[in-house]
Amino acid sequence: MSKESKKEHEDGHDHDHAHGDGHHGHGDEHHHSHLGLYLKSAAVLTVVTAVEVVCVLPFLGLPYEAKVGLILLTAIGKFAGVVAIFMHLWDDRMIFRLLFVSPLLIAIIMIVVLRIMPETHVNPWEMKSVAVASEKPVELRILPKNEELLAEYNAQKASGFATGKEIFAANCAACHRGDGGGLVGPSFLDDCYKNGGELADMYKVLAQGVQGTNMIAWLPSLGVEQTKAVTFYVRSLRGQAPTMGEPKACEGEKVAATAAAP
Amino acid sequence: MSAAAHSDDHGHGHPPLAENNFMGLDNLKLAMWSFLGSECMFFGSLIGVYFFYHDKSLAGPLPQEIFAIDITTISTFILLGSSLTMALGVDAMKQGNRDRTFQMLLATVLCGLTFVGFQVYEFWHFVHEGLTLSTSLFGSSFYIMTGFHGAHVTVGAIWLILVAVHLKRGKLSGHIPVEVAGLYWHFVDIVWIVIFGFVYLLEFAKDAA
Repeated sequence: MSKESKKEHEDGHDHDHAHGDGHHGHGDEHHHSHLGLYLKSAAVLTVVTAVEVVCVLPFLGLPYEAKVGLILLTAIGKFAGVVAIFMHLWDDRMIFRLLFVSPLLIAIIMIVVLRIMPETHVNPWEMKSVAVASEKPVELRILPKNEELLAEYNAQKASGFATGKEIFAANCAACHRGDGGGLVGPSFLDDCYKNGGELADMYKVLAQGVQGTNMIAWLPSLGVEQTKAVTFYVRSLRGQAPTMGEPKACEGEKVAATAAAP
Repeated sequence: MSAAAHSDDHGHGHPPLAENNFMGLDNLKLAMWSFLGSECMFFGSLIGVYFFYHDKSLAGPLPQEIFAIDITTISTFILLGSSLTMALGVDAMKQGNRDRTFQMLLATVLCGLTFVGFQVYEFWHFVHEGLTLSTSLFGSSFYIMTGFHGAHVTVGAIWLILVAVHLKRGKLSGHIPVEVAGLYWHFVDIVWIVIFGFVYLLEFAKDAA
């Protein structure tokens, strides 16, 4: 390795450590090669990463806490290793260390604070989703297919959607009017829909809400069955005559009358 | 860089010490370390926001449903390898071995672009699984964080290509330009070390819990 360092001296004029304070082998006439150190470091990095991946995969059956500790330790170790050896911060000037490490510490503190901060700082719209996400993760978030909804809609048609009507009167009428003619929210009596006129589209709006509007996500408080009931009732309002005066004008796109459920 | 060595490089008539040195520090390196300090804050905030939001999505797909450990592990090894070739390139440059430096720079660029290729494939796959920038809090914070990292790798690869071209034309006078580009490259690598551990592996750690 050092044979290479002696081979060419034309770069010997260019040294960053000309001022003669604490440095290890950099300020000499020529640089010593770190080839061996770099190869060893890279080998260690590779092995550590491989061990890390293997330990985290399920077949070793390590407890979750052990895995988290391992990831934390290896990440810090690899980070420090690359910075110290590949980036030479270990034996470079103190000012570089200060410039890099101080913002790094601030960043780490910020990440830790964000992690442990109480969740009351989340906006209310998200708080509802947090509650759902932690209780019943996957089932509630998978949206039913349009054909399934259509079949259920047709099956329940005879009942007049009484459950949906009840929930609508209690929760939806404030914004959409008692007869569904629309107030703050759009009318359900016409053929116009802002987010699609299929049952699946309507279910999605009810379940997840519409960001940027007053329409919140109802799935967290209603649950799947009641959300479906309201969806069906709202769908059944389409084409009905208003009973509380002139309904709100068409909003969104006009959907072909034959496109959706009968 | 020593003051004497550079007084003849530029005939501006400035005092040589003020040109590329400040308190005996190389200005390029000083600037790069300051920049990397600010980059710590930049990626720190993106990673912090991801930690805060990634498990609060209302709509799927969820991280554990779409992350692919095999592909991400391969691309991680490729990026780690590029850090080695980069370090070897700087090492060769410090000894004046320009041919070796050129080869190592090209190897580093190749690894970097391969990594970006893996990321493009990953994003394409995720979008097909239904995760877009606007799908959920996970989608937004994930794409912003890893996307900015991928952009950094891309910028680094372009930078290294430029350095390699200058090197080939004999326009580089010392090792500092290569070393400073190397500092940036290693930094991009350590950001990925953090993302790989805390974003990807942590999801797979949850499986047994």
